[in-house]
Amino acid sequence: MRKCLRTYLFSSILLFSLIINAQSQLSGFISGEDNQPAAAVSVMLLNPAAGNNIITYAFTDDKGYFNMSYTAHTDTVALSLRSLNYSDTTLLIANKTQELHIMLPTEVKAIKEVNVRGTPIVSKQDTTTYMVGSFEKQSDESIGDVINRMPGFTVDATGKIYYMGKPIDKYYIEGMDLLEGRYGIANKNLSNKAVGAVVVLHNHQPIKMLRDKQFNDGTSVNLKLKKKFTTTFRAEGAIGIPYPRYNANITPMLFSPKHQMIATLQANNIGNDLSTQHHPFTISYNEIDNYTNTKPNLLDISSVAPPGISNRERYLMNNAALISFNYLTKLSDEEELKTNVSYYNDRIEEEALIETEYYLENDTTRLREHTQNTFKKNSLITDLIFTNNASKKYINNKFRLENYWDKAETSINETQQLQNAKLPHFSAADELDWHRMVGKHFISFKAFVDYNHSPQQIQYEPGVFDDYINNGEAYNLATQHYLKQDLHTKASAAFTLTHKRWAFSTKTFVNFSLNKLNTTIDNNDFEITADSLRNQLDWTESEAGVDEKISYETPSLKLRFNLPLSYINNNIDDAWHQASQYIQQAIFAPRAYLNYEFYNFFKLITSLSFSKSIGDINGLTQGFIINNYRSLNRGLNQLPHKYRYTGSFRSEYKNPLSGWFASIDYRYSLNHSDIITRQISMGNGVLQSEILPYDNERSDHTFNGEVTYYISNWRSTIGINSTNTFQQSQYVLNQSLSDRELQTNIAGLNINWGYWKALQIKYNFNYTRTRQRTTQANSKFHNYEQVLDFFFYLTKKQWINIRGEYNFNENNQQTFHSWFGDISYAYKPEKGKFSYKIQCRNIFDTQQLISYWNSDISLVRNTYYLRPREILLNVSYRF
Amino acid sequence: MQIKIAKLRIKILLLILVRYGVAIAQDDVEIDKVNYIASYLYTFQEDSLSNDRLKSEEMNLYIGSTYSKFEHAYAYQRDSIIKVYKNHTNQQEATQIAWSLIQQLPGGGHFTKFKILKENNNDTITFFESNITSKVNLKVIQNIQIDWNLVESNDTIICNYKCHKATCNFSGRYYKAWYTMELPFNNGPYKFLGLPGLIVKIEDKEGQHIFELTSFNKINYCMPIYFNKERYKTTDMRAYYRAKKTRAMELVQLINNSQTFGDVNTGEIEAKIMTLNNYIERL
Repeated sequence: MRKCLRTYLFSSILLFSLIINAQSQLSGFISGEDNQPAAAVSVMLLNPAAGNNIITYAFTDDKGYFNMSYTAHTDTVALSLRSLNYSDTTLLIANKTQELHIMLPTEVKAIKEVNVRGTPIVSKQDTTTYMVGSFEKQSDESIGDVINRMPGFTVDATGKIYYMGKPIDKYYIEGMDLLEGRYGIANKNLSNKAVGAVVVLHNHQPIKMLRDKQFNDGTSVNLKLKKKFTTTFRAEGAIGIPYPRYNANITPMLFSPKHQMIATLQANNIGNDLSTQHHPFTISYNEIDNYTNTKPNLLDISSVAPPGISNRERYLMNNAALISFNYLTKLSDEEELKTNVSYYNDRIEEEALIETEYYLENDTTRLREHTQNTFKKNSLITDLIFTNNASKKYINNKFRLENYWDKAETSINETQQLQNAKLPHFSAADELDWHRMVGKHFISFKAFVDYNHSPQQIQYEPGVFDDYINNGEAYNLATQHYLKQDLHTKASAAFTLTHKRWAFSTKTFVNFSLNKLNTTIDNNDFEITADSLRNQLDWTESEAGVDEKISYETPSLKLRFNLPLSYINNNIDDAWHQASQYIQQAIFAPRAYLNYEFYNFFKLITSLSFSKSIGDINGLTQGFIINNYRSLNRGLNQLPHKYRYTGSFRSEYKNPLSGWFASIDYRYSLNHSDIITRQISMGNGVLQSEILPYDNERSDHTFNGEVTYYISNWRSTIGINSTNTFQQSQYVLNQSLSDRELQTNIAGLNINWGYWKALQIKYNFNYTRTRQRTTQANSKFHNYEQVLDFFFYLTKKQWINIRGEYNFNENNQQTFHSWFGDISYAYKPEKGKFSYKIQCRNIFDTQQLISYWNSDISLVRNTYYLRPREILLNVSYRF
Repeated sequence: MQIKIAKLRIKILLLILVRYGVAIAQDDVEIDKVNYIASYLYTFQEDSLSNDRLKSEEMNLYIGSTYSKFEHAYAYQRDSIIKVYKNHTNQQEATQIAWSLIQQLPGGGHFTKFKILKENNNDTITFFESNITSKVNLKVIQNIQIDWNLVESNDTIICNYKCHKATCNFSGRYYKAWYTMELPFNNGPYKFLGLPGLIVKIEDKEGQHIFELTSFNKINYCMPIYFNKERYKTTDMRAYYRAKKTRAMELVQLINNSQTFGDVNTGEIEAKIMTLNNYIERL
């Protein structure tokens, strides 16, 4: 700016006092060393003071002459000469009218040649396109199998897609978001043969009206189908031994410019988890203050932590059915209406030997529990969504109904302890999102209503906590009831002013919620009326505030500040305890965000935030709640005050031309709270926990790194990744306050080798190390998993897959190994739509798998019982 | 439906062929040799009113020492086939063989039959097309002066070349272009020239006509550039477009008068031909 001003003043003085015309004439003759005229030389005049911007340019004529007139406010200008037959030359010359004779040395140049055709990855400004044909293999069954092989992508065991380590936002098919977060259905069932390309949309703003106006750093994926009108049909049936093992799948799909439909009917008991196609991967209410309304698990039903292997089919003993219907219709170019209905039913058996070692002050208690769980899952989710995504306005209304009729049964050491839980949940929510352009500015309005009702209960047989519930005498049956009921309404209105690269947005919002929380304990079906064992809380929460957002955006730089300020008012009515309170609090949670892209391939993202909040009212339960048959919890008559600092830094590099994709991520957070949970050991692993007022802090450091290299000529991908976390916190056990340090290091190597046509090799190595340091004990364990997969493509019609897995666990010099092997053979006649596959899973019939995990006061060793050897015969039909 | 139309297209071509014989498009005067080939993917919208029919054709820019020629990627093969069979003793047989070979080549539709000859280091270009209607060969000689506006922006990498942005108005459309100084040619697809480097990508504001470089290669074998200016009658772009429209009408007439199409709904084909209206230049 100063420089500009100086130049301006200087030139003004020149202009007025010396009366010099700023326009200069530059002409000249350019020749080769032999004095022959050099024709067709590109002559560029650059401004060295302003990043070598081009002032003007010309070409020499056949006789080697050029002529140009220009205006520049600098003393010198740079003259750059480029041509095919002479060396590139740049000269600094005075900014004045002059005639030049320049002799250029001869140089026959090698012109950089390119061939974009056939390159499997094409990158343009905000999109990266992956050609499906270049990544697909004969053994692929769905587009998900191919996406998993594309560099930059990872698909986790549930089917959730990540691009460069970050989960994707939207999964479009031909630009339409039919499935929203439930994209697992398409990803697992849509044939890769129907898809031409997978397009990654970087910084994708789903609201058309806000494109180029409001930056969004999310990544979305669009599948481009080969044909405009596509109908696909998949029918698959498998039977196997032992027991009647079966798998059935009927999935018709239809895609046209006006309509899209995906229906699916699936059932199996071979360990294929269907819940991943029922529950959305992304929670769609994230635009409203990170609010989620997933089903709450109010009571702990002693489920077993899953073993640390990536292949869930080894241990998931299910009997699942899924019916899903998804339909989208375009009412006009901008308007679409869609409906998603999904019903899921499952019976999951879980069996494990859980050995828990409690680190108590003086002694260690060891517990050995043979746990058998049965989860009966039953739920229906329906969505009705209307969207008008026009260039000047946006309307989105989403109505969702959810009902869960979940149940669970547990038996510990045969009949030593039985548990029986009913975990229903009902939710109805409606979200309206409305935006409109007013000239260059825009206004938006959001409204949200959500009603939740969860009357959950768990029965313990025989009764637990005799001292508290039955005056120290043994009794038959204890039932913990837990009812939570709430109604949330949220409304906000925002006006955004834009001025050049700046946008100023003011949002005012009002939130209101009505909540009810009731807990009671029954002793042999009689409700206990002691206040210490029941809770009845009713509270209303109202919040009003202003969120000021300032953003500055250029094509390469995005800067954003959020300054939300709100006032929360809680009116709590506690029927049984002295906790009726009127809590008010001002909340300020500023955030800053910076996104900078440079040299085309690099991106830096950093953010800082601070938030101050009051804790969850669920902590006000002063009456005891049986959370679990070994733990009795109660809260405090005071709400915690919390604040949190977070900072993050992310850097990405992606160069599809060379095939390199890399990202590093660092995150730090510091959480401060004025309450702490105290656990009191009552002997034999039984714990009572309560909340104490005490200022304490928890800090978390997370470091992630990921590098993938795609070797285009070899059709191979090599990737390494690492995640490291370090957590420091405090905990209270009995009378003493202690520090806890938890460190986890994960490292992985993935190789996907496709150089040979007849053989494809996949190799995965995952290493995890966990260390915990507490006052009572230090623990350390390692675990690694190696998976080697061979695909032999014998002929065009048949292939064989051999898979080997090795799992290693080490804890305190004790080591455990497990081996797994699978083999499958597939045959597909060249003509016809049928294909056949025979599969033998877990050839070595490995029965158990051991894994460890830590809590602040215990170390748990799980011996998980696995699926035995199975043989499956599969017939599938697809077109 | 799609297949039916494709089949009809072949039928139409055959019909025309039978009527007029292979009007041999011959540019037999060698004027230069190709040094470099720049291939572009030309994506265009045939119907100005509807954007659901985007078509893509491959176009080549042949760069020689004195001249450059821009035409459909398969025009060169097409012309070569005709050249080979021209002096065959049995003309009828030769026509048949030539036609069967030509038929296998893709493209060469209504919007991509033209050719453009540019003289290096000169603003004068010759736009020409043979057999617009039977034996009507036209050429338009133009002086192309494009007032480019160079946009200061970050380097954009396209096709591995460091590119800069420029904008211009040309024949009724507003274009955004990216050019690279790594390829110091005053050239580009279609009639575009006048930037300090080869145009790598150019698209109009509406996204109806887009040229994107897909490859750039040096040629080590002998590939002549032919042109015979005597064959073409000089006219202007307006007259050329009139001739193209006449041609479309002629096709419609041909379909109406023909028995070849049987029960197929000719109205649909008529409508399709009539909507071939979104020419790159708005005159």
